[in-house]
Amino acid sequence: MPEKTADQRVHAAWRSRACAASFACGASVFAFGAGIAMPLSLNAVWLSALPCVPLCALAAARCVVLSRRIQAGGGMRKWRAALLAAVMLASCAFLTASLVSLAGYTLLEQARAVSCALLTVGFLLAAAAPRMQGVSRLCFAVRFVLPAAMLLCGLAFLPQRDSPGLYPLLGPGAGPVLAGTAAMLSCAAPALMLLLPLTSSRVSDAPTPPIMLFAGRAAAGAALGTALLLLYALPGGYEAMRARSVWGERLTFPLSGGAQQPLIRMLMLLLQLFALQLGAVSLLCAAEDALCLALPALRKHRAGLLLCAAALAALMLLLTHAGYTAALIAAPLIALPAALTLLPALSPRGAGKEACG
Amino acid sequence: MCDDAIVLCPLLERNLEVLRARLGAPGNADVLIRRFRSGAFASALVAVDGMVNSVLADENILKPCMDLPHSAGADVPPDRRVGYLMENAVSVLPMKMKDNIDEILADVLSGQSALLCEGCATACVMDTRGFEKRTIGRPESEKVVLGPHESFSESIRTNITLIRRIVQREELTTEFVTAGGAMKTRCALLYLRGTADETLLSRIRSRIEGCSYDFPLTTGDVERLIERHPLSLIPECVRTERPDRAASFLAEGQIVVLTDGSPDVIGAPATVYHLLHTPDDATLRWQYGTFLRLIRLIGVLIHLLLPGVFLSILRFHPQLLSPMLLTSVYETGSRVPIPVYLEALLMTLAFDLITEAGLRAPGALGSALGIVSGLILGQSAVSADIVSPLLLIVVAASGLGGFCVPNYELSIGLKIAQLALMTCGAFGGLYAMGLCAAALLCQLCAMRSVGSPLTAPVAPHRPGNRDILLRLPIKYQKARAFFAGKNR
Repeated sequence: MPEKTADQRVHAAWRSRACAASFACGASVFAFGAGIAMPLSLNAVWLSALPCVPLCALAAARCVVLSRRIQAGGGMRKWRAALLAAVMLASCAFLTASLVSLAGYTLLEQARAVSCALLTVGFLLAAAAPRMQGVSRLCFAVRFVLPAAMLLCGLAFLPQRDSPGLYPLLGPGAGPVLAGTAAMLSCAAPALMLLLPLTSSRVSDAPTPPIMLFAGRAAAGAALGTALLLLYALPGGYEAMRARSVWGERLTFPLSGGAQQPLIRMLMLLLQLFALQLGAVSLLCAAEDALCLALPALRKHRAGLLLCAAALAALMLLLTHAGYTAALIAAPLIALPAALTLLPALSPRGAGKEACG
Repeated sequence: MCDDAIVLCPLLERNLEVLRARLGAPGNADVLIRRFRSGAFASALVAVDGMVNSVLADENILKPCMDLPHSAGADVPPDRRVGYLMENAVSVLPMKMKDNIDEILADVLSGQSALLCEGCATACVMDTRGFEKRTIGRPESEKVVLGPHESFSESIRTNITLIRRIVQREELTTEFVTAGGAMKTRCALLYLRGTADETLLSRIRSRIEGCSYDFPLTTGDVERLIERHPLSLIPECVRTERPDRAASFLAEGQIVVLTDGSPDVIGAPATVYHLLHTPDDATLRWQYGTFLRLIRLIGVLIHLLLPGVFLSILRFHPQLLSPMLLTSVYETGSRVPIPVYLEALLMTLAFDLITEAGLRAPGALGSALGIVSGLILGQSAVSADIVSPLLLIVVAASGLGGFCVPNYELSIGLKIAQLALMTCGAFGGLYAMGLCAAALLCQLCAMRSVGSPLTAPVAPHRPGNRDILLRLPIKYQKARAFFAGKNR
């Protein structure tokens, strides 16, 4: 095959991977923002999410830098790969919990939570079976259509009259807003999947495209999540939003004068679920990749994927037992191992220290 | 050299003995071994009865050789006697010199004749094929309103000629490869030199030649050999029975694979968009082509999603229907004694049954059978309250959408996907349907056709011709497909 085509192939693979990371970041920002900052309402909910946009871009850029250093150093250390697998799996569990919580509250109200969780994990496994290629290409294919459709449907929920009530961002409101903002920083963790090399051995040695390609995409995903939170916050007043106690309920768009059509509500819901699913599948595939880097023996018979899916199912059963709100409380902890993984990329001398593992 | 029986030896009798033994003559009545005198030396013609054109063999090989004077060729060295006959007597085209017994036998069994001479360890294989074959007919599964109306037949040579008549270019190359173990099947790879990608070509060649099955291979079998995703519902190659479509594949940079005995050819690599294109799209103006493609796409979506969405709404999300429609649905549904999922499943299977019966029934009986059974069964089922009228409409609309799928293999794959989605819709509502659809899409996006992504150039992006879903004006269609060796 001509060299030009080989380069195109590598470039396309990286672009698809960046799109998958972007979707996962956006889905995390929306799911976490709606859960944590939701009771604060209106201005606070999306202002808390706003710092995630540059952070996601920064995380993606650092990931690419570190990925190049690791490549130059001969490979990723096993402990780092294992840590990365844990971060990805935790992020995946968080997004799956969002998915199940939203579905359980809206589409499958009568279903048992355990059945719903296991059904979701089963389908996530089926979607992850063709490896990262499948889901990242799908993310690439819908990269414009899905956000545009979500934003259009979101616009239908805008109120026809002014919404009352602004949350105080200074004074007594500053503490909760800052706490929510700090907790939301873990939404940049899915960008860490860019640290993983491409699975195909033929293209793993090829140079990676410019950093801005990844940073821009991750920032775009996070910006979409923030924009959805903005659209989400505008229709409902403070009192109406505060009354929403269940996480799944908080993830649904509040009813407004302009969105009485059940068809639009259903379409928006399906788009939300699809975006969350894409994010969860991407993270599951990334967790498998990272786990196989840590333990290469798991590549045989896709044992890595099965192990990740089993761990995810166990986590989901645990969350079903403890209540999905536990996922919201535990999710900020993802930021700690994520930061630890990226630590060498922050120091200028980290390059020489990334020896092969 | 004679004993190992791999190549011919200079003794004519010994060579004939080996050929007789391998062909089972004289017990095998089809084997023709004609000894005769050709000038100063003895010769023999080996052929299979019924496979050769006997008039051609008599007039152009036997008669001229036997008419040679008895002294002719007396001074010719024995190892050049076959060559002497080819130069002075035989008037058949094409001819090949061979000494490998396996190759000679393969040629003889395919309808060619082998001429052997005393003292010469080489045979001349001549194309004297003259078996009965079907004439060029009209395409059955790829009908068009405008455009050519001829289709391939079962003869590989005729099929190659049909393509060559359209693609009159010096770059058009035909390569014959043999697939299968003991029962060898002749396949031809057609491609445009410089346009088709060499890597893809060698990949296809090695996959076909690597096969060792001992049964005659059809185009479908060869397609399975080329494919790498046996569990997938979507075909990885595109098949056509139209020479004009095969020619367009070649122009795009695809490799066309013909199989002897099969009236359709394979185009590889393919994309998922190829499976939704028809020859009509190219013959009509771009606006009409685009419109038809959109209609087809809507048909595919209706076929795939409508029954599942209907069941989901009915069982899990009735708020999506207006109260009046909902009342009507429940009223008619309440009279039906079986669960709605079972009802939908039975109706879908009944529809497929009628379609299949209509396809297998001879001639005009097929369409009559479809109409009669559809009308009578549908009307009776509704009258007897076995099915609700709305479900009947849903199943009929979905079936109609299925007929829009231009690729027969894809239509069967979509039927299976439709059943899967319907089951998800019935037991998990739109949520399970969404999960299932996403899983299917992930599978589709990960698929490759001979190493080239099935969903490219959309995902992943590849530069090249943008003739994907919308048909563009001809000036925007200069580029070749992304998998071609040269992009223009």
